[in-house]
Amino acid sequence: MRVLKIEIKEVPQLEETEIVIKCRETSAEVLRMLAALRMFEHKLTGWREGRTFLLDTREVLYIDTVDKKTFLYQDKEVYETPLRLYELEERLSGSDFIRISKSAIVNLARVSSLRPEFGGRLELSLENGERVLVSRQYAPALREKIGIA
Amino acid sequence: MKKFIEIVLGIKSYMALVFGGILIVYGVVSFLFCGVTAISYLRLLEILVVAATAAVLHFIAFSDVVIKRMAYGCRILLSSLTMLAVLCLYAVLFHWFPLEKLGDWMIFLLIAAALIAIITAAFQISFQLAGKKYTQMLDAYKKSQPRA
Repeated sequence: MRVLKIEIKEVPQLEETEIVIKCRETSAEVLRMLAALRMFEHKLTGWREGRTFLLDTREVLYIDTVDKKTFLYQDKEVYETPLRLYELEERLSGSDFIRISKSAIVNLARVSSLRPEFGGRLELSLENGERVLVSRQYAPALREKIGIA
Repeated sequence: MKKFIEIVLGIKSYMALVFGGILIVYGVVSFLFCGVTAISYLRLLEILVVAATAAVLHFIAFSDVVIKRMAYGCRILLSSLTMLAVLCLYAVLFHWFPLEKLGDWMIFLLIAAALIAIITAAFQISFQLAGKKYTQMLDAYKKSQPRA
């Protein structure tokens, strides 16, 4: 079992918290740690075209999983994230993000309208014109969050 | 297995809705226009078959299980046309009216098409009205959340 060496140093002169990760190489595990840390400042780490980007959660419309990979969708750009959907769901709980299906989480702040669908589902229209479906299983939680009886 | 049960329950619920609706319409229309005060057991079974078929076709057209991606309007058209075709088949199988009379066929098709259009429009209107209310609640939710 791998053991991490974690050290906390209190430096009164520092104006903001500084975290330094020392590692032999920037492995997938290290990237996951980084992504988890970024969540504390409402940031998400995403990859696109071989580069790493720091994304503001407010700019993410929804999160989707395809072929066991998780993707963050902005207005026009799509980024891959090292975090799993359930990890994102846990870390984003209490925010505007809510699970809408087994493979997707949506940012309610970026939903422009919604309407019921056949079979107890909901259809959400996002600010970029895309539409996503809330499955029957997750529709009650969304209704409760918004305050729909 | 769980998914299969969910699908069956969904179809069953819709089938019950359609069965009740057809029964009410059939009862009212046959009473008002033909003075019929009783429905035969056979007729009940026929209505049940129609309701079951409508529920299955509805599931095929509107769930994402069979047809993954299709515009909503196309789904409505698909379900309406297939339901119309199936109703014609049942009219032949169950001898609902003299099949050789073209006039009866025209009336039947007009009524069936009108009913399908009315039911579809009713659902659409109710969904749109509910959607407006839901969007208002969503806007109220967004305003209530602290933003940076």
